[in-house]
Amino acid sequence: MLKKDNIFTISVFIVLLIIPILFDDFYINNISYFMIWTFISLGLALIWGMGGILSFGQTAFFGLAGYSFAIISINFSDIYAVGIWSPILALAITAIFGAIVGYFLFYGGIYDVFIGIVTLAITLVLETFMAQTAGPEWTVGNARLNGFNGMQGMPPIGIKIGEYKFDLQGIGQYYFIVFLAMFLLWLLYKIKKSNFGLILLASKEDRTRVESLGHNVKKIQMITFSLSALLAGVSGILYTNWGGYITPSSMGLIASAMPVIWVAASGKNDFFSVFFGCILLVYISQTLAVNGAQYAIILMGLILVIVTRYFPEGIILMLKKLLTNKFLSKK
Amino acid sequence: MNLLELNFVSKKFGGFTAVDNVSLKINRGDIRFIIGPNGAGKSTLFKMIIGVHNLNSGQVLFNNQNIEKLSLNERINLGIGVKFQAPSVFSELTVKENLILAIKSKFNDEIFSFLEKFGLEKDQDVLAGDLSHGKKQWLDIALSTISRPELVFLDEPTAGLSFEETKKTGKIIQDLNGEGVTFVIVEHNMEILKQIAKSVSVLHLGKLFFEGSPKEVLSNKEVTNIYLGIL
Repeated sequence: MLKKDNIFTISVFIVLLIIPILFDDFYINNISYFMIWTFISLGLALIWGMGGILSFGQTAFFGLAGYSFAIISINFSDIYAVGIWSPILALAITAIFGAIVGYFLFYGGIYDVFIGIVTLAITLVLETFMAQTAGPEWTVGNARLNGFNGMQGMPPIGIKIGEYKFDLQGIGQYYFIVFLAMFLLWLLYKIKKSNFGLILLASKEDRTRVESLGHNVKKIQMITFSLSALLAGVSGILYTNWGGYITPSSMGLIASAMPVIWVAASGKNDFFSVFFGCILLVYISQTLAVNGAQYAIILMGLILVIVTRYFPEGIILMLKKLLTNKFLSKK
Repeated sequence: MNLLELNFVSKKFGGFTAVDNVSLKINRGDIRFIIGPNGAGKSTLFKMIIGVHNLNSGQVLFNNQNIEKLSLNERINLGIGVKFQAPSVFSELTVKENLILAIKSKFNDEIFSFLEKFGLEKDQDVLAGDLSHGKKQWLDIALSTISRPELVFLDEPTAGLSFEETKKTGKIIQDLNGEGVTFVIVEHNMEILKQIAKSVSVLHLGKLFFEGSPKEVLSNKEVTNIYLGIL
């Protein structure tokens, strides 16, 4: 049965599906770019909105996945289907790294604000390290890390079958991102309704009580952290594929603050709100960035302050509830 | 046969000894009350048994298995249920979701009978945070018992309940005990003790002060005195 609040999700996806019919490649590429950031935001909504754990360093996983994809695809560009298995391998590396970080965090008894501090430190360490790899000695196989200028020249995601070559670019990339977003939103809703999701939601309220019902909360949190890293990795790989480059600044302080702002402003407890809000906020950021990046950063900071003070539930989620009550509730 | 055995367990917080060389044996089928004035060490002892506090010395045996090294969730999975002092239900989940969270899959069919047993059948889709205090207490006890553990610890299950609600709580505990669940209950409320206790242990200043039947404990002058603060 169609639930009331699914109407918003379905409407947005119908619009997204018909956009390529109405707009040219320039807009399609731009909207692809806006949507790429939704995956890192959904990952943060999973760990923060559902699990109550604020990770300030999701960009570490974004960057790790982007760099891993670049390094693997450059080094093995001659091997068949590298455009298919290199992003998968990069995602696996990112999820494993996420699980290792999660293990030390949760089994080490680190909670609350300290998780934000530790994860921020991880992403800043990675940024600082990658930024100083400008010298020719900093290579992994054939791939030069290239310091602050970042890596480029990696083959795109895709595959060649006989004479037919498919690269994940342009309209193909756009529809891939739309369908991937649909699938991941569906999967996240399934997780939320599962026993796993209930344990995660409950552990946000009272971790000890959940353990006293026989659940291994640390393990659940570690798995969730790894999943959220994987989602950040999806963004990182698609970003690298979209622009053909990945730079250390993608793991910097400003970059790491952005997903937190997008998720908080949209409504961290609802995946659709995060998806839609992230697209809108990235669009606003990019539009303002044309006139100088600092305006976008100032506006995002302002949005965070206003939302925290007046709309703690998130603007998009609040609007969604208002519209549901006004137009879709039974009289 | 002893279901739970504590051998000379102690717990210190800095220089303060909260529990001092306490030994207890809980028989299968018992409803054991642990009573004592504030600061006697009841809740600390309770948390030591379930693994929230580490022991400084001593031994905890459950079904003759030493469980000291096990984490809280591992102890629970051996067949132990726990209700903490303050009602700790998950307020953002519905009553039914709370129970789904607590139940082992093989008992899934029993959710509705449990809702009925605790008088919560009409509240199954209500957020637990919106329940009255009494219903929160019952839901909390339901969470602790729905997977039919062998041994259940209840810390002040009747705190804040009316006389009628206390009576009903006692009846529920008795029914579950009749189905084979052993209870260890930390309480101040003497009404429920009189109603359902099979045995009583009295703690005073962290030590085991007296053990006996409810009648023996209630008629013991020294026990009365420590409650009145004379000893």
